[in-house]
Amino acid sequence: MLMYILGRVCQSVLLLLVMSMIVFVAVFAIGDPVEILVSPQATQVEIEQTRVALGLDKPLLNQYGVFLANALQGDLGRSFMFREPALGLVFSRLPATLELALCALLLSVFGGVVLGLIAAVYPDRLISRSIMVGSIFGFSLPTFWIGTLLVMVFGIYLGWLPSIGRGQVGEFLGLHSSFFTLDGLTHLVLPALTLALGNTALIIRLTQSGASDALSSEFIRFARAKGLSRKRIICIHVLKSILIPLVTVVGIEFGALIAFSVVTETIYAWPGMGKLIVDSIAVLDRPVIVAYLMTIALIFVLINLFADLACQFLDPRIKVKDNA
Amino acid sequence: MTTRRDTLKLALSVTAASTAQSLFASKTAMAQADRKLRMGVGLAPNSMDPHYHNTGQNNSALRHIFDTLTNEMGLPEVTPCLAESWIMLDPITWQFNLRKGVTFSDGTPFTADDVIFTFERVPTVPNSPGLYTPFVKPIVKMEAKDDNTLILKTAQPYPTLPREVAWIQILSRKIHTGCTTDEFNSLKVAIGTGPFKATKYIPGDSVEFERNSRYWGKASPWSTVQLKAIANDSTRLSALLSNDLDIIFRVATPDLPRAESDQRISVSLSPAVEIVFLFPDSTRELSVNMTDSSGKPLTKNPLQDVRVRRALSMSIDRQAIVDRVMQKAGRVANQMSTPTMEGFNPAIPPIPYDPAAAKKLLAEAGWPDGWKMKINGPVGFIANDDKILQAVGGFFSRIGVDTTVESVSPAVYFGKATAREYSIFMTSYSGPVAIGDLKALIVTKDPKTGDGPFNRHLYSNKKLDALVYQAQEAMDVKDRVRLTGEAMQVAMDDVALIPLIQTMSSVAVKRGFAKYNPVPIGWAWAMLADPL
Repeated sequence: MLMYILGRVCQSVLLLLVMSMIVFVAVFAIGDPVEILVSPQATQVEIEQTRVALGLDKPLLNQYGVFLANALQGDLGRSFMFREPALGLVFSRLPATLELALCALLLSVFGGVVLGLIAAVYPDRLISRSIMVGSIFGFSLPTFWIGTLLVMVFGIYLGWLPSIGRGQVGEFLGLHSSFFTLDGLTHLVLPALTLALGNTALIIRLTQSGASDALSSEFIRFARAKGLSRKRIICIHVLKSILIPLVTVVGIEFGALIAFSVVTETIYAWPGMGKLIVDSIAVLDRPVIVAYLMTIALIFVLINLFADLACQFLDPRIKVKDNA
Repeated sequence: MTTRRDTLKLALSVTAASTAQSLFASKTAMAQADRKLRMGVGLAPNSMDPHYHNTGQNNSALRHIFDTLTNEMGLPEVTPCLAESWIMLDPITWQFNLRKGVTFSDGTPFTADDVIFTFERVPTVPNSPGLYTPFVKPIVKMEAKDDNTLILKTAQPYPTLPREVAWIQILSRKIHTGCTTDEFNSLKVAIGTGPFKATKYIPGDSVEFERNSRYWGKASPWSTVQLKAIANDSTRLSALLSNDLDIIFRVATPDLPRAESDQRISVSLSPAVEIVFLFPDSTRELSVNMTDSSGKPLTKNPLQDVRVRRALSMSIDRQAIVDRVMQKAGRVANQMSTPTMEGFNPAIPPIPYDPAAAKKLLAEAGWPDGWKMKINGPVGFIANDDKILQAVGGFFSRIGVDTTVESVSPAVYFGKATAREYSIFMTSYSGPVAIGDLKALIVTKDPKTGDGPFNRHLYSNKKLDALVYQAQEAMDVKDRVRLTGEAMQVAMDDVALIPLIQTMSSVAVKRGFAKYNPVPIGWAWAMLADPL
């Protein structure tokens, strides 16, 4: 078990190293940040000064060396644009993104499982067919379109919900989050819904197929014969048997929600990491790009590790191998 | 932040105010107590240190907190701010008479020594992506004659000094000695003499301000101001329509007709100081991206011939670009300046749209059948940049120059333009005075003096240089304007650059909420918004 976790850690370190290298080369190949950062009134002298100030006058290999040396001490450099530590900048945006991703995840898991179960238990009813057809739309409609549509309807036409930014942040047990204020929650609704839609569809399908499979299996028939109530059969036995693929998918999806909330954050001007990375790429702010990608990679690694461990916990038959 | 709560708050405060009026007759004070302004802009400031990075968004946003000696609005005259008046004592000596009784928002009095401290700090801010040094560089000696009199000396005569100092926001020696950019960003020392105080700063996202009760001028009618950056034009407009913002800057041109007909908001267009232009490579014997009709690289560079450059310029129907591509959010340009800017030359005639004459000129220059060429431009840097470039490519093709267009992200674009990987490229320049455009773009590039930093095709014209430098040192405004105009004439006669259009700024406000008084330089200032 310990070896397994250690192995995973080594893998992720290697991953981070390779990724930082790719980002360095890629940003270098794309263009020159100095060209974008300097003001129109700058003279050639200031342009050169800027290059030196940002350390961009040195050869690329040299720059990467400096980066690695600092990274080993936990310093991923300062943003070219904001001059703040890049990692700090990413972390300062993390809560907003996590909050949004978490909200979307909860929505999609609860919504998806409930709707999926309904569709599996009453396969012939109209509502089940509507759910399954609806889930296809959920899959195939792109986020930016859904987002814009929701803004149009609820923000502009009906005026019920705010359509940009994060609301007031409340404090509860030392945690700062918009979960704790009404204003914060109303701001969350539209972006979370937008982000949740695709995943809800996925979970509906997964739950529905898993549950209909389970419903016709031996152990459920046995449970029924034993005289267990229908509620207990569905909520305990069926649900438990479909939980493992769900947990794996939810794990991956959570990472994806964090990493790919970019589009949603752009539509709703949500001050999260996705918006930060888009802005940073536009100005080739390399330290922030590196710090962001490393954070995301780390989150992915961690979530998958937890998902693996959770699966083992849920089904003792699954054993993680030490040499994984 | 919710809309309804705001309306409720506003309603409550108004009700409270009217009650108060009947009781204590202090309506204005009460109504002022809670008036909130939410502004949406494209870009947020990237620091709260007013000397960290010279960009439009920083200059605009931080002026809510800090003042400058003079105000630069992109108009022919600069106006007083912390300096009430100024006078040139001799060609290299200036006296600035500073406003009395001004204090910083923490109560520290403002004196001439603070200006000296500020100007000294400007070149020393570390790790800056773009310092304000060019504005203070002409100053060689500073002296505080008394607390309200400042003497500045320049090495050479520098008649535009009052304009240059308009870019430097004033700090206090007492408060800000040794302060780092980080301390400004944490708002600990974001203390200025301006009409507002910063209360919250999220890098790249938003800044919030509250009224500075110690402000020397008329107190702002807005008790709090939120400046929110929304990069996407449509999202910004949606935010206004859904009542999440009160005023937004820059409405995307495709949205203009719809926005203008919307009863909930009012949209206004005003001329900006931005000129969109093409920079042809007239200097290299052999340029890039040009072939004959069979695809073989050309053996000489047609753009070296002024007749060819003029033909290309004449082939462009600028009015059509303004009408169709820009939806009228622009004006035809005939020089590298706009009519509101100092140094605009009204004698320069409009560039005719005459494809037939252009074709003739090409034939005269020895290119009757044209050639094949690729022209380049950015995407998302100027409003509709990719569409403007497409239109230009179309016009070129009509006179026989078989043109393809390539638009790429600014992140990629400007590096390549500087590396001269393009033969004709499009960009824009925004500056408050005409001579600035010339000095940045087509004066001979000189790494020593730093002149011509954006002269990417290394254009060089002795006559033009001489006129620009003469203009720069002309003590009389009239002479300066005349000489700048002459320099502009030389540049346009030689078609060194091909001006296309002057852009317009658009501002949209919630109808009946406020009136915004735009200035050509495009400031997004709460100070320019009057409540209705």
